[in-house]
Amino acid sequence: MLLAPVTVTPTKPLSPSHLKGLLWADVLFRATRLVSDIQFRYRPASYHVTEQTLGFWVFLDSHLGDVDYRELSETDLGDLYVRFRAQDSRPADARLGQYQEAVEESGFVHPSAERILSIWKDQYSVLGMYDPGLTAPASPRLEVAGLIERLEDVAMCLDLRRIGGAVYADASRYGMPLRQILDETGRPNYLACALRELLALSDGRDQIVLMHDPELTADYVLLARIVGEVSGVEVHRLGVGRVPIEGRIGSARSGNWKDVDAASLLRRVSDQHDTDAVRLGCRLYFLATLGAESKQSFDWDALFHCIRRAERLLARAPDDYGGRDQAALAAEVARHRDLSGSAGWIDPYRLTVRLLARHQPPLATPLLKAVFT
Amino acid sequence: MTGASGDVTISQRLLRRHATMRLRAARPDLAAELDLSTFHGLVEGFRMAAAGETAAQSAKPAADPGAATVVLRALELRSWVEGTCAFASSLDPDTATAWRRQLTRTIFLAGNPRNLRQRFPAALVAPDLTAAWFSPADPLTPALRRLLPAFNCSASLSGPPSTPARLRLESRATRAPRQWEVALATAGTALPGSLIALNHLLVEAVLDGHLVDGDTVTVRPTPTLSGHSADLRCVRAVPDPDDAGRLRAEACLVLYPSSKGQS
Repeated sequence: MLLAPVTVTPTKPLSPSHLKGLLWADVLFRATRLVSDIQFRYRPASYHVTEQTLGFWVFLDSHLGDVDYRELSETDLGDLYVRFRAQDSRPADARLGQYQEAVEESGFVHPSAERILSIWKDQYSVLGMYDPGLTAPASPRLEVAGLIERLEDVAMCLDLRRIGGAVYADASRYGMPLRQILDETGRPNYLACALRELLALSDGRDQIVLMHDPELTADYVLLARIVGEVSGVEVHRLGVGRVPIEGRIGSARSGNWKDVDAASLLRRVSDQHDTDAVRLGCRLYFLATLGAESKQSFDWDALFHCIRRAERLLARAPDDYGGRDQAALAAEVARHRDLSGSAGWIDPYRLTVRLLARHQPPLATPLLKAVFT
Repeated sequence: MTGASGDVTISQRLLRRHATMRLRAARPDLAAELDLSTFHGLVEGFRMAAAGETAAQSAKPAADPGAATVVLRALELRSWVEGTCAFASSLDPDTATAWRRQLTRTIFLAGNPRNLRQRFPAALVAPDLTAAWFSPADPLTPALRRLLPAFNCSASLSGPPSTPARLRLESRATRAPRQWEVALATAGTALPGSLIALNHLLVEAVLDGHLVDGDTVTVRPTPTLSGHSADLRCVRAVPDPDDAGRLRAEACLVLYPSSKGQS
């Protein structure tokens, strides 16, 4: 089984919405690997080639020039990203092309992205999240030509490059709108990057679980359809909603992370609580309290409430299974399989909510350590 | 303007005459109300026709007869010309008249006709599956337009004349086949713009009976039609993008000299 959540582009700080998606994926992965063979695919480097990221790098190099990015925080960079996105003009194709070539051919990563990814790595570590390869090179993936060939094999590609047009993914026979995947200059967008990666990784697997926020549903429905059609693998989607800030769901380009970015959040909660309580409390809040669909705005009181609850859960968790072993732990987890997939990943929501069940025995420390802290 | 050979030369006067003829054929009601001998009257007439307005009331009629839709997977010029003319000749007279009133408005979308067959049966599909045509009266076209993006690309038509298209039309020919050439002005025009010009010229030439079953049509790209002198039968003239006070020839239908003995 392969778990493949939408990746966050390293151009800004992690917001509560990002943390929610990342924690959902983390619980799903760590719980499922106790009972099934699962690989976690999450490589930001596979997506550096999109215009959103390359354009920001061009912007930084022309506005800041040669600087030591260790002197900048992720919120400093995020503020610059907001400025970049607010511009009317877009960088010249030739300039973007130079960065694109360096990324594709020699794995170039701009120091701003390296800086943000190294900060994220530290934050993952504080939150106890598994690092699936934040700073690793791009996964083995199809070349653009290979992608087009695979899509053409199943008549799901419309390629107008010969006449100076774009390339589209075509699932119109299923009633889905055509969706551009390469622009007129041949630059792949996010969807093309995801296809290149997933089609290369899907061989020999029986199941892929995609995770995304609801704003990307149309793209992910298409992605699931294409990957299923091309590779024959069973594809499932899990939508995890964003967290509004003071009632508003803004995208990163609007800079809606003020005071609730991951660094601020972790600083504030870690001042008052120990690491395991913060880890479990954040999972209780972003999974059990908010659920996949909640429209509740980010709420500090609710988060602290969850962390205090986590402290109590950790304190009363039995050290072991009363002489039972790893198999008992697996059996406990396996009761929370999602029923929609034949292989059955563990439903991160159901498992987390189980922690709060009042009339069931508390979960044991080995399970909390393996999945939640 | 007319030489001994029957050739005429592109000029502002000639373009005005052809534009006027086109509006008269499409919207006789507007032609009767407006003074088409003035440039302003002519331009106003085309604006009203494009907006579906009538002379009596400047408002959109309740029923919008809609545009035809062409879906393209690639451009194979010969196949497309044959399909375009066959499609125009296949329309029933009422649909053709309503479409004409819309100045044969046509929307070009990017898509694969093969993938549309089940959900969107086309009026006509090119044998090589590169193009499909949908009637302006087709109730499925709004859904089709939500599904497919506009046919957009930066290439332009250039190079040598196309392979001659051999027309297979519904109407029975009452004369011997002729050879035609479409001279197409390409300077500053990308492929989608050229297709629009060619499409209007060809379908209106079919609806007007200039092109009949068995005729052949060759498309010859040229930067400009300025000063072009030939036996012009149909001319597509539009306001010149460089100067809105004059017209520019986008395309014209020319009878090959070798066909003249048969006219």
